[in-house]
Formats: sequence, structure tokens, C-alpha cells
Amino acid sequence: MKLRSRIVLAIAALVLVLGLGGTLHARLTLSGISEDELERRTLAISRDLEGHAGELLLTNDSFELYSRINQVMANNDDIRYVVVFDADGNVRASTFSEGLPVGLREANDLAPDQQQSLLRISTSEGEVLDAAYPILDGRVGTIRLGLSTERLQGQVGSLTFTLLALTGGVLLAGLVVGYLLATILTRPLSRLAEAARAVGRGELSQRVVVSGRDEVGQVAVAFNAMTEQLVAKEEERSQLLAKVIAAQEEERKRIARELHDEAGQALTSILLGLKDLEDSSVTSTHKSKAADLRGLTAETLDLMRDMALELRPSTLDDLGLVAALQRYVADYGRKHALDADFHPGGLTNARLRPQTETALYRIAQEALTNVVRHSGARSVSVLLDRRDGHAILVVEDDGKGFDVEQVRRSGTPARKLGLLGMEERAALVGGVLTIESRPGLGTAVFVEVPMDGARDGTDSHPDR
Amino acid sequence: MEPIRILIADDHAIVRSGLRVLLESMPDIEVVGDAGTGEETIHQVASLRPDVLLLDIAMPGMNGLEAARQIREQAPQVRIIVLTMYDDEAYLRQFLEVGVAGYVLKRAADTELIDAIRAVHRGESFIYPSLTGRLIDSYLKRPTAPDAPEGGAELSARETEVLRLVALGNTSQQIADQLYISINTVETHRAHIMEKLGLRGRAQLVRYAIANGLLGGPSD
Repeated sequence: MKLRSRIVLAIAALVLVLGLGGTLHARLTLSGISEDELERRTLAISRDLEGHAGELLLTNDSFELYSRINQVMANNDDIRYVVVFDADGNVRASTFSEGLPVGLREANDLAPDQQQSLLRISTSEGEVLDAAYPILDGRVGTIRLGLSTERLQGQVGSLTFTLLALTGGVLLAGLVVGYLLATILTRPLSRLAEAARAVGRGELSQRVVVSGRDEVGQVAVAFNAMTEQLVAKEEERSQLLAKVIAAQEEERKRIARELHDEAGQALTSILLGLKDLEDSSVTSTHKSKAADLRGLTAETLDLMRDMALELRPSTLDDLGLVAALQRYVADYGRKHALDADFHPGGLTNARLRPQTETALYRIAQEALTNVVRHSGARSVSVLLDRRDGHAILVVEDDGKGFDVEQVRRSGTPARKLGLLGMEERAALVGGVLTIESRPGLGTAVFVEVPMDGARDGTDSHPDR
Repeated sequence: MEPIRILIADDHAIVRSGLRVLLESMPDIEVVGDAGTGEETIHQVASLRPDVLLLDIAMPGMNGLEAARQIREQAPQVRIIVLTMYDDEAYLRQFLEVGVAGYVLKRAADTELIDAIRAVHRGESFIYPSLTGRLIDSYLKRPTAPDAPEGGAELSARETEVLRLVALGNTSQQIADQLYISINTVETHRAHIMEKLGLRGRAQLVRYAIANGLLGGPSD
């Protein structure tokens, strides 16, 4: 659940519990108090009436008795009825003009020695607090008095309603305040989350605005610091990678040269010495042995030349990318029986920066290796060109293609690293690598590298 | 008959001495001197006036190519044989442009060098046979732009535009963006173009575009 919803819900729950609890408590308390009050009043009226009723019953003054009970009725709005029974249970006076309602007499019958009895009974006119009060200890008769509880209930009800309305109002205000509060609290968090996602996508320039010095502000500060460090680390990583690659190339170059210059020359001189030995041998055994060794030496020289070529062709340094790729593509086509077509286009007579040439050569090598390994292509084109101050390399095959995104996501580690390696190499010389491939439509690897530092360039398209 | 006078230029002493031993066993060949650097070679050529110079490519200081260029200017009568580890056609081309008479790989120094020396001394050229093969190969297979098939293979204006953009090295996505069409449409156009023109592969397409003046360059 979102933080905002949680805050709003918590506030709502708090308001509801407080409001409803308060209302309930107030209602219970109030009805308790009012009930006591009502009972006291009922008894007070009964007692007052009893004082007169005893005498009036004994003197048999019905008129005065009637006027008394009517007076009591008139003085108290809440009184629904007054009935006076004599000791034999006959009605001597009653406010019911049409006789006693059925069941009223039995509803609250007083036991012979009972002081008084208060009882709630339901009538057709609502709930009534019924009091049975003996006159002169029951010897003369009984008074029955009915007080409506309606007003009491009405008071409690209206208080409850007021409290509930108040609770509703506070709840509404609480929701609004809670929403605003939650928004204020979560907005910086949302911004942080958005920034974190951007950084995750690789947009390392992303920063968040630090608002205030509260906890969220501190997280923002920490986030920015982390991103700074990430940038620094990324910078270091790329420098390190450049260094490792440069060192690797340097090492390859050194070993290739060493193979050529030291081992190669020594083998050449062995070759010559064996030739001389063979020519000057007198026995045919020696002659043929020297010839065998000579053949072996020549083969070793071939092997070493191939090794040196594989490591790093000297043409790449001496003659440039075009010469090196020309050789590589030709050898590649022969070796894999592929129609490999090289077109140096607008870069025919140009030299690029050494790092750029090396990067493009290695990318082409990797792309061509992938063609053999994965594409099943019959023909492949390697093109160089220049456009808008950029050198362009394209390696395109007519093979079975692949889903670039899928390989990037879930290809074998070797395959993924292969693509990543090409991209990194391009990026290290300021270039961009794009792969366009779809199943069935072949694969094209494009590299675009800025040409600053190019030497001996021409701007047209000298094809021949 | 006068022996062929040879100067050996190689920065490796063991190679120089090996060559010397081999060559001096030939009655018709005389080694008149050797040199370990480009500068020394030029100096020795001037003072010794050899008939044939055996020249290594990789030497400290002035390299073989530069030395050959200067010697061709100062002593054009000296026949130069490049004796090297490098079998790249690109190196060979450079030296042929400078005007050397022979190009022999060190791995064949035992079998072909003597023949090469005698041949260039006679005024012929000698190029290491397997390299000759490669040279001829690349001359014969020299990529030429296929001609547009006769009649009925006219490209539509849109196809011509797509062809031009492909030849300029654009990705399909870039072409789609520039022409405001979908990448699928670009692919379809491309397939049609290849089929109409009978081309295979992007390189052929580029050459066709150049040959037909689509890139604004010279048309042949």
C-alpha cells in the first residue's frame, strides 16, 4: 500500500475511534444521569400526590382527587397518565377518559409490603417509566404514574447526533489534512524514486533537489552523494578499462613484434644455415635430414607469422586500418569459405587516431567472429566510410539474425559480453555502436566514431 | 663472368651472417658488404655500388620503405630485393610503387632467394610466388560495381533514396527516421532493390551506388 494511503488511513482510523468512543461514552453517561433524574422526579411526584391522595380517598372526595391528578398532569408535560386505585383495586381516579388500557394494572403490580416499584413498560405511546406507589403503606390504595422517557431519549439522541456529526466533520478535516500531509511527506520520496530509476537506467547526471534538512532531505543528500560516487566510479571503471585494453594491445603488439623480430630472425638464420648444411653435406643421409629440418623450420616460421598476425597485425600500426582489415577480411573469407566483401569507401586513404583504428579493427574482428559462430551467413560485407566528421564501420551479413534485446537480456554470458565488449570499445573512443538484427533478416553492426585527429584524409569517395 | 655484387641490409646480425654463408657458397654471387640500419644502407649503397640490395622492411631508424625510396632516387641502377617476414599485399604494393625489383619472404630465403637474385640481376622482376598468386587473385576479383541489368530494372524514386542512404552507411532506423517511414518499409525497399539489381550484400550495393553517381561522387 502506498505510504500516502497509509497515512490518510491511520488518521481516519484515529479520528473514528476517538469520535465514536467519545460519542458512546457521552451517550451512556448522559442516559445514566437522565434516568436517575427521571426516576427521582417520578418518585417525587408520586410521593407528593400520595400525601394528598390518602386523605382524599379516606374522605371519599372524588372531585378533589380528580382535580389533583389533572393538576399533576398539567404541571408535568412528561406525565402520560395518573391512576389512583383504592385498597380493593378499584379505580378511584384516572386520567384515562375511556377506561384503563388492558394490561396496565397487571404490568406493575405492587406486592403487599412493597414500598414502591419503578418499571419501564412499552405502551402504544412509546416507552413509559411506570411508578407504583402505595398510599399510606398500601392500606388505602395505590397510585400509578406513567412518565414518558421520550424527551430523555430525544435529548440523548440529539446529543449523539451532534457528536456523530462532529466526528464526521473532524474525520473529513482529518482526511484533507492527512492527504496534504502525506503529499508533503511523500512528494520528495516520489522524486527520489524517480531519480533512482533514472540512475538505474544509466542517466548518471540525475540529481534530486534537496528540500529541507529533515530525514527525507538527508536521504536526498545521501542519494546525490551516492550518484556522484557512482559517476566517479563509472569514470574510474572506464579509465581502467581503457588502460587494460591499451595495455593488452601494447602487449600483443610487443609479442607480435618479438615473434617477428627475434624468434623470426633466428629461425630465418637457422633456415639459411640448414640450407648451407644441406648443400655442403657429402652423405645423402645428412642431406635429407638437413632438408627435413629446413622444411620444419619454414613451417614454424609460417606458424609464428600466423600467431603474430592473430595477436596484432603489424599493418595496423604501419599501414593503417584499411590495410589491416583488407588482409583480415580476405583471410577470413578464405578460411571460412564465406563470400566476404570489403569496401573501404571514404576511408581508403585516411588514417585515424591509433586507438580508433585499433577499436574499429577489434570490433570488426568480433563482429566477423560472431557471423561465423552464430549467423550461418553466406556473405558478409565489411564497409568503412566517413560521414559528417565521423568514421563509420558497418559489418553486415545475410545470416539468420537474432533478437538483439533478447540476447542482451538473457543470452549466454559469452554472447552478452561479446556485444558489451564491442559497445565498450566503441564508447572508449567516443563512438556509438548500433546492432540491427531481426530473425531472418541478417545482422548489421554499425559503429560511428568521431574522426578528430584523422590524418591524410580525403573528403570524396575515391572508390578505385 | 663477373659475380653479382650483393649488399645485405638487415638489422639482425644472425640473419646477415646466415645470408652471407648461404650466398657466398654460390660461385656467381659475391657479398660486398652489409648494413644494420636504413641510413647505413644508403651510405653503403653509395660507396659500394652493389648490383643487388637485399633489404629488410623493419629496421630501426629509417625503415626499409624509406631507404628504398631514397636509393631509387640516388642509385636507380641498384636492383632492390625486399627480404621480409611480412606477406601482406599492402606492404608489397607500397614497395612496388617505390620501384623495387623483387619481394621475397624470409621463410623462403633458402629456396627462392638465389633465383630471385639471379632474376633481378638479369633485369626481370621476382615476387614470392604465393604472394603473386594473391596479387593476381585480388586483381581479378577486384570488386567492380555490377551494371544495372538491361531494361526494366528501374528503381523508383523512393528506392533510389533508400539505396543512397544505405550506401552512406545509415542504419535502417536512421533511414526510417529520415524518410518518415517504418523500419519494415525500409527493409522491404532494400530487399526490392537487391532483387531488382541482382546485388548481394551491402558492399555491392555501395559500389553500385558509387558507380551510378548516387553519392555525389564521380560516376564511372
